[in-house]
Amino acid sequence: MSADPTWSFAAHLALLSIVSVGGAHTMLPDIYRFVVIEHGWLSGQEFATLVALSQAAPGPNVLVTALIGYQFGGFLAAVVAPVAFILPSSLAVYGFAHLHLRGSDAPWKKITMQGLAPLTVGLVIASGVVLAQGVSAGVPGYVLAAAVALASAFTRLHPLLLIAAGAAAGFLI
Amino acid sequence: MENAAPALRPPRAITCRSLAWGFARIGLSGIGGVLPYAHHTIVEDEGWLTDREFTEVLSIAQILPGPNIANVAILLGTRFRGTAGAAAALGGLFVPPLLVFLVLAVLYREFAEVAWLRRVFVGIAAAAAGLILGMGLKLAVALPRQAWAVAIAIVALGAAVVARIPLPWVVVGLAPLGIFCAWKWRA
Repeated sequence: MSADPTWSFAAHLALLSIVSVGGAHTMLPDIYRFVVIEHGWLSGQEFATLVALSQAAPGPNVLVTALIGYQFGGFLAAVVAPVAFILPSSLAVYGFAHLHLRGSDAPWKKITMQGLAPLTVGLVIASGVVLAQGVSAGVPGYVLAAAVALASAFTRLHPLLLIAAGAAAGFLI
Repeated sequence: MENAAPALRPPRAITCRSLAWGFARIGLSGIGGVLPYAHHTIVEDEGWLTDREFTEVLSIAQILPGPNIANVAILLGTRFRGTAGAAAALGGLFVPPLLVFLVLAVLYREFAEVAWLRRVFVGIAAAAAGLILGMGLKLAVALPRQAWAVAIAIVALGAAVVARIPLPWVVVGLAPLGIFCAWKWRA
């Protein structure tokens, strides 16, 4: 607990890297738990805002760890955090790449994907819930989040348009 | 390298530099997810893979731990140019967008205290939460209508939101269980 935030954040991300399924969004609830609840390095609202910025910026979603790290660890953390989050899984994949497994219809692949899908779904929804709680803007915040959720799930509106709508709503309320 | 359709780039023409440049374009073009751009660049623009090969690589990338697009970069880089290729592809994918993110991080820090911007930030934060929820809903609709799948999704949600169990435990517990169920009740 007394450890430097940059390195304890990096160590936590490295651990998550190995168990990450279904992309960065499934890891957000745990990063939130670690950064906001356990250590209090950021407020829930700051955390949710940084996630929003990462979605609006060009680049892989995992770079949200750079935005988060920078806020309490400066440039060092902004570079160390994404590296810590990418490197362990990358080494595993690099090792796997030498196995040269072929065949997209191999049954083990299909079953593994089907087996992991429900876990991914649960964790992605958890991400949304945790972030909505973090916004801490009371009922209007939840209403806005729910409206955007429905719009993005059931219409073909561009995500950036929905973020812009959120920005406008925030300004006006 | 196996035989490929004539439209494909011969593997010798795929240099580390072209891997880095190709993945840099993928990394920099992705707003709200890079996979559609990845397909466009890898299959249509560069001709590194056929559609079928791309699907194959992607399906492996999705099963392995780590961001899908990073895994695609490593698998392709290794396949065409070994270790150096993997490093080039991964570097191309992450370094240019990281520079953009660093600028963004500084700007956010600089302006976070401005009162009207704070309100705007609250709005976009709520919208971002909504976008992720919406993605979860879309994925949920695509799940197989089987009791075990619904149960695992609900347990994962509860573990992360209500019980706040550290994620490694959730994955170590539920991933093997999910795969077992998918095998046991396979269609």
